[in-house]
Amino acid sequence: MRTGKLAITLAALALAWFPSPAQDARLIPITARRFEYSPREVRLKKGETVTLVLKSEDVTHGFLCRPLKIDSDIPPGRETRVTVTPQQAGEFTAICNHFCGAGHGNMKMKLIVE
Amino acid sequence: MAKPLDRRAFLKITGTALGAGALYQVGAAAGMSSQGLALTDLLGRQNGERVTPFSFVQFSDTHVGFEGPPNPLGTRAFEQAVAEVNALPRQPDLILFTGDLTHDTEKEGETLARMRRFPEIAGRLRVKNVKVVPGEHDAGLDGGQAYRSVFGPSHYAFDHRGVHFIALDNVSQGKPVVGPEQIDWLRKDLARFPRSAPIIVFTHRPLFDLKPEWEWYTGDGDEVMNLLAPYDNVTVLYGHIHRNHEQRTGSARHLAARSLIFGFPDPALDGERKPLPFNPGAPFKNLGIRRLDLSLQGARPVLGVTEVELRSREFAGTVGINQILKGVDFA
Repeated sequence: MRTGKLAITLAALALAWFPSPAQDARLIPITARRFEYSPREVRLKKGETVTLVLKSEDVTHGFLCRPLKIDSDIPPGRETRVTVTPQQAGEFTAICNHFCGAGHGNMKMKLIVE
Repeated sequence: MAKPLDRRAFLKITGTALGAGALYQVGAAAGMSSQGLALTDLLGRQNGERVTPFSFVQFSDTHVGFEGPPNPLGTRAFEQAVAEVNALPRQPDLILFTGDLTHDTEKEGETLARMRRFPEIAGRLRVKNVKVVPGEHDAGLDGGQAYRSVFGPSHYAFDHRGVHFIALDNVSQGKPVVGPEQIDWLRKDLARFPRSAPIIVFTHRPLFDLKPEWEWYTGDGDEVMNLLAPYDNVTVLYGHIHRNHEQRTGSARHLAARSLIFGFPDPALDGERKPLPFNPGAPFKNLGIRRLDLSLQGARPVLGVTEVELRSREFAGTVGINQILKGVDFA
């Protein structure tokens, strides 16, 4: 019994001491507002784990980039974090896929993986 | 007697005007062998109702209330399409509208005003059997609340002459999804049908990944198509992409219709999804409706498709177009 408790304590200590890749990841803030993202372009490195920190300044937006397997809602009033490790270089478009009004169809940004 | 339209005939006929007498006619089971008749009866008993030939028309993306350079004529194409259908000597059995009946607005009271303007025009159709589904411009901003208050449920099913029609809503949740609740409803709805039942789904967005970076997809479309996969005769009619497109997934056939407001570019091309520019010399270019004729080849139901151009002779000349554009603000 005592051995079991010790193992759990050691595991907890190890988790606290060695942060997960997501905790280590470079943070990239992206702000959504009708009908644009800011910045309009971000550069990522192939194989580098990054966390996109998505915030909405007005209504619920979406963030879809199929090639990078990202599909997230961005509700207003809180941060939405998405961790990604791009495996292919290229220029990808992320779009808002939560209908947000008249300019919704043009709300997009570029994710450039080098 | 005319033969049922296959794809080759459809391609050949695409682009023809819907003139008087052009409505495709198929005599019920004419020319069918006694074996064929027996098989049709058997399938009819299995499906609940025997398939008998009929015609219907698909309208899409009328965008009532839209104002802008891609179409300074507003509802003129919609009104012309209604007149074209009314001029047919033999009226179709029903009319389907596959979403974006109205264009979204955030002006106080204007959403409902546009939703009331739509039935004013659609109500001129001689055919009163009219079925609609919402598009994101109708229902994406308020979860479909205003739409349902005017048009009723946004998903439903009905049977017509041995064909099961399913209206699916893939817009009301803001995102391009059908959602688990509706998928569960669909599963139950399909349970009573044998695999031979002819099924026509009508919805707004494509139920497959046509071009996700243009938001031309439905996130859980695969789940819908998996439920439909056991059925031998499934056609999905949709709008949203403002152009004709045909694709097969498994044995299902997906057909996108043109809009009545402006066209979008070919998804096979790279580039932006921008409305095709308005052509004053051909104001209805890239717009149109679709006629569908269900016939029987032996016991097998076959859906013939005719893409219908709107007649614009009276609007084709400079004088004509200037008359139409009188008072239109191009700013």
